[in-house]
Amino acid sequence: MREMRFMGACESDIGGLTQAMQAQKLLLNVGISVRVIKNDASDPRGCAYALQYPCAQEHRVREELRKAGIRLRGR
Amino acid sequence: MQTVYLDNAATSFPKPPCVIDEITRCMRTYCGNPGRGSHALAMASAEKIFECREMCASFFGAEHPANVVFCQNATMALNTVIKGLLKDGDHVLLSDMEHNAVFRPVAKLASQNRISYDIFPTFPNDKTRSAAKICTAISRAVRENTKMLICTHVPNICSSVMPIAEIGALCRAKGIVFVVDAAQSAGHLPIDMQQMRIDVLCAPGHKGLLGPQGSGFFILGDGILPDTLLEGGSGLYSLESSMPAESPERYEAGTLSTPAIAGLLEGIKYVRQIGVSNLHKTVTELNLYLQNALEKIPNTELYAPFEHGAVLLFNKRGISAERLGQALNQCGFCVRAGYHCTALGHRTLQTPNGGAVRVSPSFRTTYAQIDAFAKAVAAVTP
Repeated sequence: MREMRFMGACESDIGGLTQAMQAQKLLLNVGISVRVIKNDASDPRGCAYALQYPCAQEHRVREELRKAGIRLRGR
Repeated sequence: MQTVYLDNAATSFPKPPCVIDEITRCMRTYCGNPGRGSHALAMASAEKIFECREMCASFFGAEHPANVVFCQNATMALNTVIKGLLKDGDHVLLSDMEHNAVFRPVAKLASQNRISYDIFPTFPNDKTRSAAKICTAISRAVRENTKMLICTHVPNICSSVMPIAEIGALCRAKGIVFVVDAAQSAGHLPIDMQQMRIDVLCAPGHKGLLGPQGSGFFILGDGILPDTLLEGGSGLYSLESSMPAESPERYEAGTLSTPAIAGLLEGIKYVRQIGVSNLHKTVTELNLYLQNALEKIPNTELYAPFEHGAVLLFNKRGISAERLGQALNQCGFCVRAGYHCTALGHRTLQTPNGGAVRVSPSFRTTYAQIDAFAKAVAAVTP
């Protein structure tokens, strides 16, 4: 998972916008507020989306998405 | 003269006010290009489209919102699925009531000697038609290389409901991809892709779902990955030369129609609020009432009259369907005459040269309008 820390928030690449919105909805349902952002520079293929969330929630974000079968991209 | 719209099988009219209001609101306040940026309006459009994906997935029992792919209409959906899934040497089965949106792409691939196909009977003219009878006919037609079976849920020229769950079970057991054309049933009959074992569901938004023209979609079952029909901008991985692997972006080349999809979302909400079964019951009762009236008119011929639903097909002996349709139009009734883009179905129902007249009321049609229509039919003379 590629991660960036930006002003107290963590970012993880996810790929497509639909997948990102699905992840956002899912995380919101378990009380984790997430922003969908465009993150073109982080993917060598260009034009991709990422999730931005509080770094303190990183473990839960990973866990909830793993349970839902949504894969974060990168390492 | 009052216009009475009885052509809802072609496109539903009028649309509910909530559909029109949302399309207007979209175009006035948030219609950015979905998936093409991260600014507020692009994201607002993308969120509305995602909301509609969620609604479609939930309404049709699909696994995930990402399996819902938007396109212009059911024809585009069917073309994408048929041409994207079939490979050289494959065999396809299709019902004898398929619309040209199914028949023509299949026939084209066959004319190029890439695939072969057979047509299985569905017995719409037979009072004793049953799921078992249709499934037996399908089983006999299955070959070793049968890759796909395509079946309409309800044809566009009669109200015979196909035994989708039974055909789905048969296809699943034989490893055949089951594609359902829900052009006439979406919004009229309950559909659950997982329960009915539908691998791909194709539907327009502008008929029973009460959305605007220009809205349509297909829903893929998990693991069904057609090749693309169109390539182009998807807003994803722009530096690559090929379309992304992810659904739905893989299949949605070019800008989606946010106003159409926003309108479709409201249409489905409206259908859900009134209830699919309530809507269907209303039009079925109207058509049954009309059928009883038409049966009393001399020289009237009804086709596939044993099952009742949203569509009624008839002729008046001695008058061509087109002339009858024109005469009814002059009295203010909008009905569709001819072959309804369904060559196979008209052959199956054995309509005469020139086809027949189709009546498809809506839940807003009144019994007084049906009475007036029957009176107008009676008054048309050769």
